[in-house]
Amino acid sequence: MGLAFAALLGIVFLLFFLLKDRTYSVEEHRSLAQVSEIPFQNVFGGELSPKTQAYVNDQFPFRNALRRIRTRTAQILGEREYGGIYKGSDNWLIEAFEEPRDGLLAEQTASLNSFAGQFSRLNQYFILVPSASEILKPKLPKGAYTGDEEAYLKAWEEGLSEKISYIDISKTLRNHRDEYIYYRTEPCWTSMGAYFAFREAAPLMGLSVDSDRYEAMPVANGFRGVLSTSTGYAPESSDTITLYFNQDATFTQVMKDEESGEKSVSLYDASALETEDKLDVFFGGAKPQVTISTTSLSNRKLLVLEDRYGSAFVPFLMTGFSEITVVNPSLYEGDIASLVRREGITDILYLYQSGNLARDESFAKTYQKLGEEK
Amino acid sequence: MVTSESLFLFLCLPVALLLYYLMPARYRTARNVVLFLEGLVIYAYAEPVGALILLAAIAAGYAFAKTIARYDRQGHYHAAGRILFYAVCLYLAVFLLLCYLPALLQRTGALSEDSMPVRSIFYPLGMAFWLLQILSFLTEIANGAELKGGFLNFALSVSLFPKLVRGPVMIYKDISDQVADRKESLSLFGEGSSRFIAGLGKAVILGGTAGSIWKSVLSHLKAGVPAAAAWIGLVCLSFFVYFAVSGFMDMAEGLGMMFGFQFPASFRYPFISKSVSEFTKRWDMTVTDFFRSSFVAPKGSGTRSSRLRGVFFAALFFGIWQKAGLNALIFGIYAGAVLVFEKTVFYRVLRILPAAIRRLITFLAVSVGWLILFSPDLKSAVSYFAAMFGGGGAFVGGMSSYYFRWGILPVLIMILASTPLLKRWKNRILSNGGRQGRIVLGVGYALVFVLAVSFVLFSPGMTFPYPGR
Repeated sequence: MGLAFAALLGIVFLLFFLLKDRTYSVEEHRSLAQVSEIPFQNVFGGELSPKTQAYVNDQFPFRNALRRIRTRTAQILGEREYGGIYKGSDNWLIEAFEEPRDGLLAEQTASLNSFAGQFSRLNQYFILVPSASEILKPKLPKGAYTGDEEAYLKAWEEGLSEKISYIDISKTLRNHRDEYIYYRTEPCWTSMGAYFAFREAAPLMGLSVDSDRYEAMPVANGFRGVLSTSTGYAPESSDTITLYFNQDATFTQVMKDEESGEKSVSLYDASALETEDKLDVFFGGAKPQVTISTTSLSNRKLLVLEDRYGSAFVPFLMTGFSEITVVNPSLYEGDIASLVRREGITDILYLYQSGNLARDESFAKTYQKLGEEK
Repeated sequence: MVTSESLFLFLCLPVALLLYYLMPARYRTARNVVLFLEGLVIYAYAEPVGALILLAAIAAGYAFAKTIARYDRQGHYHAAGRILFYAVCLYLAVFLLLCYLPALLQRTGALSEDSMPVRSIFYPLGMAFWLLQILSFLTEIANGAELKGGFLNFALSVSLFPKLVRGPVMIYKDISDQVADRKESLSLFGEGSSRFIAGLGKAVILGGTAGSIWKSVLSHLKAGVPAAAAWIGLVCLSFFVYFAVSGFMDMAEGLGMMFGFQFPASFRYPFISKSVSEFTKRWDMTVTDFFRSSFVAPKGSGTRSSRLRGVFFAALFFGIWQKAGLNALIFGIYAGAVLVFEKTVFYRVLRILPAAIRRLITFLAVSVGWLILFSPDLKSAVSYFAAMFGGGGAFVGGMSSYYFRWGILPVLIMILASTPLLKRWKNRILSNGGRQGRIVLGVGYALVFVLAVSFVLFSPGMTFPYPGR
């Protein structure tokens, strides 16, 4: 017994040094701690032990197998949550909605209302996308706790200034909750979810969409999003990414990435589908500013301020506007007021995911900065 | 230097064992030096300033010890007692200062909330234990125990790394004798290995699971926890504390055996206790024995009321020693009050109750104690207690079914694991199973070890209840 134990320790010890250090874990979708990150020279800094411990953990032999063992065993024992993410029915992974800290909502609405005040002559719309933990409630483990998201959405509706039109898409999403409107492994809506939301929002935005025809084409299978990679839950489960293409052959668009200057005919970057970050297929990932010019006959021009998950929504807006500028405020360095003036923007759409927004400590400051003249 | 971490398990421990056994057995001093230095290095890696404080405490302790021993030899018992008193005051002052100074500085704004290295400076891991160990040595020496060996023996007796950070607190004669002379053997090493693996499994698999459930229930307190869920959380808290603490003790014992030391047992199935008094005699026994013997006159001497007073103060100081903060103080008072109540009024009731009911009452009384001690603050403890009786807005429903499903299987396993049954089965297999039995057991331990390591690597945010921290 003793010999076996000593041998086991010895073998792991040797393996640890003999096996080459890995830099990245595909299973966990993150980079792994390296020896170079250990502050050997700073003994009294307090970081030496934790960083060494992290290094040993990350480079441990058979790490992936051990992770699977823990997850399997814990689930057999009854565990259904890990790091705030529940394992729901049908292997659906759902991130619990966390209520915002006291006062955050007030800060955020104040900041947004003040920003919107500058553009009161424009049409302004606000869509807050509820999270799966609200819409897919029946899929959650029985009795699993989630924050009161309904109250949060309501608070936003009531807190917005009258200059901004609050568009409620919860009802339509709830009606379609048995369809594939959220990803199983990523905390955001699918293109189908965005489509249903669009159909609900369009009349409220003064868009007529009855003649639009879209074809849904699945472009990637086996997508394992952050909910799966960070928990290790449901490794067999994966998502399909579907893109919607306008059937009208005479309708085209050109998208320009304002940062790099690159132009493309498609909103979708197919090369992203070959990587781990398949959701970067939309616009090629999170970008500070993207401008889309379309062959729409409308003389309306839209500015979308979004948190990157709204990108699936944008394709449906194209027939209604001759130009759409999509800005990600947390990445954008410029001056919105002059952008609006320069481009002749007629409408602004604020498009955010409720789960993220409830946690977003930088939202208020970002919009404050955005509204300042430069 | 937390013995459940992978850094310790797979880097420090193999090297420590290798270097130790490279020294030939007949060079006892060489082995002791290696052991002492290893412990220092392992500790200093995580607690560089703490290691300096530890060395200072040991040096001061040795100076005190020599002085007390000299006075004792010369028959100047009063002088010896006085030196002991000074030592107790000094160590107590240092302990309280290091415990409460960070909180005080934070309150006055001189320190920011998150300065980790500063926290570490102020409260080295395990200080509650090694200070207690030094004090207990000095007390015994003042009472006539012979100061054995030189500085190395004293230093190693205090800082032997298997027991440095989480105990057990040993009798001076016992440990100093073993430091001077012990017999390492393959069979002892083997027994140590199985003890260690069992401890690791208890702490991270059972304790970790129970701890996760408790923490999850606690986190929803503000939103309103139904009574059933609160009770499940309370049961898990109690099991969490037991399996974490006793698991670490088992690891300490196992590690000690790997180096030829035999530590006294610290736990004797506390949950089968039929009274809180009995519980204190089965829980963390080396520590409770220290507090009990320090405050309570032995049976036969002193009046009943003075013994009761002693019991109260022993419990109070046991509480204060657990943690900095108001919670610990209230916990000490609660524990003292419960013990006195049990010994005076309640024992008449207890005597006539069936064993199962007594065990249940004891379990509940103890669990409430842990609730007071381990809630983030007193307000949470009170609202949690209220939630147990419907204060959270409901009795059943809502979260209750979720926590029931999560907890039912682990709790059943934990109930089993807190009785002597598993040990009996193991002994039966060993005595009747012969070679086959030993192989089965070996495989069983190997599986537990692999499972435990998987939990060590991947359980989200595990913090264990270390006294003082």
